[in-house]
Order: sequence, then structure tokens, then C-alpha cells
Amino acid sequence: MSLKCVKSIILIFLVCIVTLSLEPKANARGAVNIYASPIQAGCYLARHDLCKIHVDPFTLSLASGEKLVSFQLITTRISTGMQRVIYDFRPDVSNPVPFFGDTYTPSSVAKDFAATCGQIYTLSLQGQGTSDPNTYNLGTTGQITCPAGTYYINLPLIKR
Amino acid sequence: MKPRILILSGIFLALTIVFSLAFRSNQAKAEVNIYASPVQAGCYIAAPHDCRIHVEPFTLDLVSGTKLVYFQLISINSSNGAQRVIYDFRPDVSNPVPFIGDTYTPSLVTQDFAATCGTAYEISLQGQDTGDPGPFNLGLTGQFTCPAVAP
Repeated sequence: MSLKCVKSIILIFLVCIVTLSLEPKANARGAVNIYASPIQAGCYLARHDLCKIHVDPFTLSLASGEKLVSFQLITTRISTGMQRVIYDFRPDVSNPVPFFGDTYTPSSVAKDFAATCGQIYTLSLQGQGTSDPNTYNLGTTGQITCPAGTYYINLPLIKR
Repeated sequence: MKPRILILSGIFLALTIVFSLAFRSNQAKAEVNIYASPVQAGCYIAAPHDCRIHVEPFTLDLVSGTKLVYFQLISINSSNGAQRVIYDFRPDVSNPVPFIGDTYTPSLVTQDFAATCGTAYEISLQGQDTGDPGPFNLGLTGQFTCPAVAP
């Protein structure tokens, strides 16, 4: 093998190492350890003057070996941009989920979430895995308009 | 004569160690007969000034042949440490669970549990079965905070 051939092989080897070290995908994957299935929600009139947000079941997916630290559901009121946590969830401190595999599907709450009739919201799901430095936005719904309520709310209190 | 004494004392020592280890392991088993899958919970706002704690389904595991005496869910107010029983569950006195096998999964309550908006809590699951001398703490959630106001 000639010296020129050896030099070429070394050069190709070095180019391969540099290319692999600059590969951005591996770093991007390492930064986030939690993902979620898409988040879907809607707003409905539960009583003549009471609106509720219903969130469809969703699944959290964590990188292998990762555990859930927390997740939150957050509403953003479109008219003011104001954000409110409507659900704050924590797993067991000694044995956090997932127990088996890499996914966890929380059960639905029994009473749905409070909302103000006539308002428009977006809903976001935020969560954190044990290796994540902070919480990540895992999904956001489109704009949801809560029903305005019925004529009933305009009647004098004595007639209701 | 001397070697025989040495052999006998060796056998006696070995038997003593074997019996004491066996007795200790039996004692350890008798201490806790009830276990549970981890407890997970969160707090949400269901209506203005109406916050609720939702507890995920959990499973109680009992040692074979023992039955459930009771379990309780206890909320711990993180600001003042006050503990409140929010769910006290008792099985049938004549035919306690589990009916078949060694596990029991209680059904979810239909309204979730009352909570004070704006307050931080932890939830602990405690339980006892027929082989336990008293209740044991079976799981504890991290600290979560109930929303302060409706969105």
C-alpha cells in the first residue's frame, strides 16, 4: 500500500468522524426525553351558566429508562393572553410512572375543567421527564370557543 | 474424643445459624403483607372555587391467604402539614377482598375528591390486611398545587 493511499484512508476517516460529531439529530433527541400523543379538547355548556373544558385522553411517551416528573394542563385565554394551570399532576415519589414500557396514559378526571362561558382558549400540555432540565410544551390545541351561555343567565336572579 | 467434640460443636453451630436465619426471614415476611402499585394524583379546577383531586387507579397486592382490612387516601396540606382522610374504604366483613387471587383494584370514585383551590398537597395511600399488625404507608405522591382561579 502506497503512502498516498494510506493518507487518503486517514483523510476519509477524519472526515467521517467530523461529520458524525456534527450530526444535529442525536443532540436534538438527547435534549427532550418526553413526548405526547396529540392533545384534543373542547368546551361545552354544562349548566345554563357553567362552561367546562373536556380533554380527550392522551399518552405520554418517555425515552427508555426515563420517568415522569410532572405534567400540567394550561389554558391560554385568547382575549388577554393570560395563562392558567388547570391540572397539576405528580406521580408517586418512590415509583414514578411508567412502571412498564415507556408510555403512560393518565385516566380522565371525573368533573372536567372549569372555563368561562363565551371565552376563547387554547389548551397546552406541558411535561417533564427525569432527565429533562425543565418542562416542555408537548402539544397545543387550536382555539376553542366556549358557548356564550343561555338567555337564562340574563334573567333576574329571582326568576332563575 | 477431641475431634468428635469439634465436629459436634461445628454441626451445632451450623444448625443454630440456619435456624436463626430462617426465623429472621419469616419475621421479615410477617411484617408487611400488603403492597400497592404506586399512587399518582393531581389537582384540577372543576368550577369556580371548586377544586378536585383526581387519583389514578391503583392496585393493592396482598400476600397469599390474607384479606384487605381497609385502605385510606390521606391528603397532606403542604403549607401546614395537616393530614385529612379523604377516602376511607372497607370491604365486606364476611367476604373481604380479594375474592380470587392476591390483588384488588378499587374502582374510581365518580366525583373525585374535594380540595381547596390554591393549596399544595401530597396524597398518601395507607392500608392494612389481615396479616398486618397495623396500617402501612403504601405510596406517596409528589407535591402538586391546586389551581387558584378559574381560567
